[in-house]
Amino acid sequence: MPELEKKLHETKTLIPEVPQRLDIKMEERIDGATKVKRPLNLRFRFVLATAIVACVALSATTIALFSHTQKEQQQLFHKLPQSKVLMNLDDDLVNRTAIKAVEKLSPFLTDEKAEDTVLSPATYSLAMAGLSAVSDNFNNDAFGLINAEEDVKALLEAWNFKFKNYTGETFFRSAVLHQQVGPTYAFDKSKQEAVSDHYISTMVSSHESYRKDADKFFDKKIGLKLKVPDLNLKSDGVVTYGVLKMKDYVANDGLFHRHMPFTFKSGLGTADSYVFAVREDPKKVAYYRGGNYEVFKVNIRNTDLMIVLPNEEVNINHVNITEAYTNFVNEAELVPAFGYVPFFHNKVEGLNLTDTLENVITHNEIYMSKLLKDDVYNDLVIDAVVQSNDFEFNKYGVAGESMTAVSGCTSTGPLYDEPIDLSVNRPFYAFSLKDKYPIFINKVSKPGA
Amino acid sequence: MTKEMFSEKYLTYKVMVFQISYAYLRNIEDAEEATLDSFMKFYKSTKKFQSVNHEKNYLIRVTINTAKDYLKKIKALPLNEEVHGVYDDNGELDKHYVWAVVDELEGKYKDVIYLRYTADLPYKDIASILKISEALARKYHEIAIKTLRELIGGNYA
Repeated sequence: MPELEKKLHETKTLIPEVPQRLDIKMEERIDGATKVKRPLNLRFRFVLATAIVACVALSATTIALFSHTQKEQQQLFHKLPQSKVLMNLDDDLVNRTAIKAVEKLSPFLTDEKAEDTVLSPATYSLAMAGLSAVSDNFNNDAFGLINAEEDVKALLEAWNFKFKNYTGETFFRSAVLHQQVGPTYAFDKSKQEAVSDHYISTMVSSHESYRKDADKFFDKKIGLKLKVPDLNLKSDGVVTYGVLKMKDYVANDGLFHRHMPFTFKSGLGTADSYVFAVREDPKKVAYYRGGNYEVFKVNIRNTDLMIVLPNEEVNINHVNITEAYTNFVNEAELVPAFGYVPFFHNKVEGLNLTDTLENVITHNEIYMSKLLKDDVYNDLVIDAVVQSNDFEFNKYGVAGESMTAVSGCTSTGPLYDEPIDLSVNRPFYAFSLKDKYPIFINKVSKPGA
Repeated sequence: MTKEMFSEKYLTYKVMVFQISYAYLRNIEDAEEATLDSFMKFYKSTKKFQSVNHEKNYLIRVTINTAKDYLKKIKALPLNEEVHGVYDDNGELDKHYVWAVVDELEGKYKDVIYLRYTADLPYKDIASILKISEALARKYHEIAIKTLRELIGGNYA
């Protein structure tokens, strides 16, 4: 045996002996698991019953005080395993899904070649989680996922559960379609049904017809009009699509749509804008100032628009988007401010993110035996990530559609005496957020153009 | 599973489960807790096993996952204070050092090394536990050994 292998065998001698106390602890745990619960004594039962009645009464009073929207929010998130990601972003561990997605995608935005464009971290996470959920071995850490199977269910449920048919209100609709392409792979229908429950649909298709099948699926499932992008598959493979449709209307609470002067380096102009406060009555907005940028957030209704505004004379591509997003989410403060955001519309079809995500792609193999017959093993490497997006911010609110194919912030009291002018009169980044989770990121280098 | 059946399994596999847990966690207390948790998951499982080997491999898979969950909680591996150099007093490659270098490997390669050298498993079983092909398990082992040689350097490169 070569010496290194021999030494590796010897490392086993470094492992200490099993502590004797382990047996006793094991016995205690087993006893604890099998112990029959004894009935409570009468006095304790009375105290417990009183406490339960008091709790129920208190809960009922509290619930009655909630507004309609707040109730919906509570119902939407309380049962989801990923609720912390969506509701409480103070938790570093569960916040990482969003941060990782922004981190992975931001190089594309800061590329000098990319002008007005839009990306969707949400569908990227969805597609990756979808693929991960049906594979046997996947580096979840690379995507910031915690438990892929639970994450994909939570994301789908969060975005589909309550808001699917509210005319005039926010809605999100999402889906994951996992698809095997090509005849190489032996397909096991029972396994497909087992993994498709709740959150995923799977079909086997030839390379030529998969796009048509996927188009129909998304149109029927969530009314998505974006066409499935051509992946130009080099060989037979496995494809996962994460799809999201979002719409939210601006609240009619004194916010104004105005035709505002807009200064751009090419000259002076005007642009239709969303005015979020008037000078005489500054509104408090969540705000963070970074080294070469400012970040603030305007509320739409159930979603938010987070604006990353580079300082004047700073090249938009030199702003660290991941840092801006992370710092804002963790450290933003409420400050009095006024300003406006110009309306914009970004659309991009078949955006190839493969090169941007090269590092992720080359370090992950996928094992699909969950879907394949037992005697077939196929080890695949992700070779393409393509995204199509359409996002618009206008006088009605925000609307966006996205498809990826694969493959929080308050403080009390004003900290600034003088209101800050947050007029967006230069190129900027716009994040559409749902409870701080980035659904879309827009780079607007030529607003009003 | 009855308590009696479980006791039998526990006595059969406790050393193996503790060794795998310790290989990942390098701390007796953590390894002890991971071992207890792994056995409890195994005890509560309603899974039907086709064979003894299938059952053993399932328990190993549970153990690896449990140990990795603990690793996330403790975030960083404790420093291996036993490492004093590349070679021991006899001029041979120091096994503490070898183990510390294994920590540098990427997760999937580390899994193969631990299963091969801590649990003494054949490639067929490693493949079954990691849900990969046997050929890929061999390939991972080959890459892991090659990487270890490069990391150790000297006569081993």
